[in-house]
Amino acid sequence: MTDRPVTASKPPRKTALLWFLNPFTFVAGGTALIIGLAAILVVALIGAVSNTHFDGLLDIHTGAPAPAWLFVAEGLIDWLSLSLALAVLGIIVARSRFRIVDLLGTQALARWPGLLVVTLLLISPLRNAFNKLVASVLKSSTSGAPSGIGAADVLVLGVVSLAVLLAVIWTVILMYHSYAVSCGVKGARAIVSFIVGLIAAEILSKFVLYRIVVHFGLLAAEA
Amino acid sequence: MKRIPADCPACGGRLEVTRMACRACDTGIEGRFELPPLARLPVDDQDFILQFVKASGSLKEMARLLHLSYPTVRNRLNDIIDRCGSLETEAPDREEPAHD
Repeated sequence: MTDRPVTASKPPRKTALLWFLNPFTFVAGGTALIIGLAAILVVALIGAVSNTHFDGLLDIHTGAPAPAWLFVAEGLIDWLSLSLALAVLGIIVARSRFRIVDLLGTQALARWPGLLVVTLLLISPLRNAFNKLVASVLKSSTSGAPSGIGAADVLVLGVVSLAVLLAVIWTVILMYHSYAVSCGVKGARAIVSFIVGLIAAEILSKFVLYRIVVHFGLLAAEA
Repeated sequence: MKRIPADCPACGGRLEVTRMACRACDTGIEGRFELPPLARLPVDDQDFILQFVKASGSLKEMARLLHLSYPTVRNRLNDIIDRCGSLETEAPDREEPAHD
């Protein structure tokens, strides 16, 4: 054992893929918390410009203008709802104790793909076309009248929808890895408890945000 | 020097040391010597434990040395603890002689 250098410090394989899907192998705790909170704030402020609401853990849509604080509140409530749900589940299913700052930090950082969505929807012509198309499709589906959208419109709708969908899937993958790494859970136990936490957090975040918009008379912004 | 293999490459069974030699005078001792649990761990785990001891048992220091996050290092340690537990509770391949 003493005849060769200690090699425990060799880096994990597939480092680039790990940074993409599970950066929490390398970053957690206070550092992740600071970067994550900054990301939530930036997403909220860009979202306030493009009127992109995160009005629920996994809900993204463009809506009516609203005060900037509502966009910040949406990000914080979504983050705290899932962190709270997973912290409770982590206490129940984890085999050892864990640091809450790791869960809070990595969950905040897991929301960073939202930055790509709000940036995409910040492109005004794209956002306008997307909103118009969604409204047109909704009107057509309720009235039965032809929507009058062409192939190019469908392409815009498809590309934006696909980008948003991929960002949501990526976010969920990051959220799962955040939970698994921070609480030290794995296997079926980790997957099942994460899904339970996701559902609980979705309900909790929707409820809290609904109470806020009703209290401040901002229902139109969320609609 | 070669690393001690813990398991048989042919059947996967547990290996024992059957011969030892003095480096100075080359006196040989033959017998059946059980490998301690730590020596039966994978080489990576042994390296991790060595580094952990050198870091005075500080997970934070380990995370800094390995360029990994704190919970990743803690999970790795938990995995090794589990493996050590399994090795300790593993049934011996043969009966131990009575020590009267």
